[in-house]
Amino acid sequence: MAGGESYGGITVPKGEPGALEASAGRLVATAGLLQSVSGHLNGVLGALSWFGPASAQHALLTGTQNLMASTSSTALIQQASVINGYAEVLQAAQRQARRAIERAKDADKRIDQAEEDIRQAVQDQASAQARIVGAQAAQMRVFTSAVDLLAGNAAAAAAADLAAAEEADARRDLAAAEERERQARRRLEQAREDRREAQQDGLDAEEAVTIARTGLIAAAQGAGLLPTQPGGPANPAFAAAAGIALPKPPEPEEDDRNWIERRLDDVGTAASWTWDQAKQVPGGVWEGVTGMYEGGKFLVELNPTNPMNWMNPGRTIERYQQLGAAGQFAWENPGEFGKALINYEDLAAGRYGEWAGNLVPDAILAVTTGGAGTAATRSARMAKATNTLADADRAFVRATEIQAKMPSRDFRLDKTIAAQPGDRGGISISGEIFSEQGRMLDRVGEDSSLLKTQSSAEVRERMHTVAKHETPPHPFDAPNPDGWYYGVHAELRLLLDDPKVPVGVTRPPCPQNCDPGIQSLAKSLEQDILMRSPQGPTLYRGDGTVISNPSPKDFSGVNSRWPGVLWGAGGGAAGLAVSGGGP
Amino acid sequence: MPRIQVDTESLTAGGAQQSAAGGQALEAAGELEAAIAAAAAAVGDAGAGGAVGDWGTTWARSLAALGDATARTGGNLSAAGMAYRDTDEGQMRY
Repeated sequence: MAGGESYGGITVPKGEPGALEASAGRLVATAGLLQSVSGHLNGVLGALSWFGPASAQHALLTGTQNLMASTSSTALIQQASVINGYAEVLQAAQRQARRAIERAKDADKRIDQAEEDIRQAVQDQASAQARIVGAQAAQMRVFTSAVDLLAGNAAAAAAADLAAAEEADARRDLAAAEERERQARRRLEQAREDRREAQQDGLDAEEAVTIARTGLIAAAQGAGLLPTQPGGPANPAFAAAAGIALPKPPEPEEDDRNWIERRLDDVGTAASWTWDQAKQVPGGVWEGVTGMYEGGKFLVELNPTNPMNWMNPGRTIERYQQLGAAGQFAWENPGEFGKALINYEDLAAGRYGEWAGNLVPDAILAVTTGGAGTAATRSARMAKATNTLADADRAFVRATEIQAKMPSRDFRLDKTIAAQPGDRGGISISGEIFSEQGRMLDRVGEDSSLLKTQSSAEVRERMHTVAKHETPPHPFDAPNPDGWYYGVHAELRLLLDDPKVPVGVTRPPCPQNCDPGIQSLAKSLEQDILMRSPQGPTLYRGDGTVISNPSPKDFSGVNSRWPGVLWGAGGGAAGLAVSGGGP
Repeated sequence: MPRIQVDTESLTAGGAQQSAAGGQALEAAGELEAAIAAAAAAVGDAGAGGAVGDWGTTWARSLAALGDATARTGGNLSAAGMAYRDTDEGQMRY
């Protein structure tokens, strides 16, 4: 079995895409055989010269058999599409996971090297410091021998010169070691960031395959003319008409889960976390889904008892995949979710072609676009925006929790703490005494290596060059340069380093500097920036506008239209299933 | 009794063709079972692979049942043709 290799929490999804594609090809060939059966039965009926009661019965029976063969052929092609689509997701996910493992290994090597360099640099600094102290002591001894100096003792003067030279040399070594440490810390930070990204890519690949497997199960269990018991077709009346005797089906087991829950539960605990989380929310996602489509289209297409769904399994799967990716937004905005997901405007205007074309599985997109979103559909962008908002909430909770457990009153009440989401996200604390900040984080069990340590000067400089924003002066600046006070605010350090990651902060951005500064940063980078403070989330859009308490549809690109843009690398089989089915 | 009109040759020929079509459906059932078994093994997940495999098994059985029913209907058609002919040829002799 291909795949399965693992490194540092990243696992290549198991499965053999090539074998799956070959199987899909065999299914298509089998469908052709059934079409041939259908053609032969048509030929039989057309060639008969026979009138009478038995003739009518035979025509009815043969016509039904013909219909079954033809319908089965269509269903096999659709199933082949589903398997082929899964193979594409699997192949892309395996490729992405393998790349992620390579990047993670490389990042780990760089982390080890940087840590070793830091250790060496610190050791060199200690050594240089000792030399400085020694040289200064030597000079002190020489100078205290005033008699020697007054007497113009040449040996004493030479010793003083030697000690001064030694001190200067040691200071140069100290400065060099400090610079080496700074560079190593930057490399360490970059390597850790690369490691986090690799880890996330690995998780994305795994989740894409999990969603695709959900679709596969849904197709197998809920689609097509699926027999309700081994050996029998779904519709007993249909079977009887075709002359097939069915055994009595077994009594179904009691199961109070709804149909979607059963399908999603079939993939076990690895099913989309958004679904699992949404289920725990009062008035959760399922209630949202059931109530959200006035037209009922989405719900109808998820319903296995609708005969049309038996004929369009690919379309049903699409709904599952999108439900899994965007479940969280569904619970928050059921009405908007429904309209956005099915591209309601297209549907309402009768633009069915565009509507079907935009229904691209997020599972495939997540892998093929690598998160860049260049071929993203509306639903994928919506899901991403939803996740970003959720990340901002998590970041805010994290920042608040870190501050709440701070051991000193100063850090607990007076400081501002900003954080990125996740246990390995960056942390920033207002002020500039980083050694004290690190010590406080260590005391409360937080990793102090995550602490951002840009100085006020660095922050002001980067706000000037990157955001085109001038940090204004403040009465508290003295004795430091103008702008010092605003330059040590916590959130800016995180945003300057990684504006794409939402930040939670325990105080709202200050209106004198941070708020307009972040706005300028977003506009300058043409990048949406999301902050979450006690006042709620604020979206600084890349076009310069600022939106308080945004919803996913407020993010850049979510409401843009992408008619005709399909998934590119992932195109083909699943698209056939969707387009073939129609809305 | 409604009017009956029959070309017995077309019935026997049609019966053979319908039986052959039934044989093809049986062949399709075998192909399907093999293809899906291979797919199920390649999915990479026991749950999803099992679901795909179960789908193939049940569908293969259904198609086999369809093939069997079609072949038997073809046999009945041929038998009807022969019965009409035998009745015409054997039962109305002087």
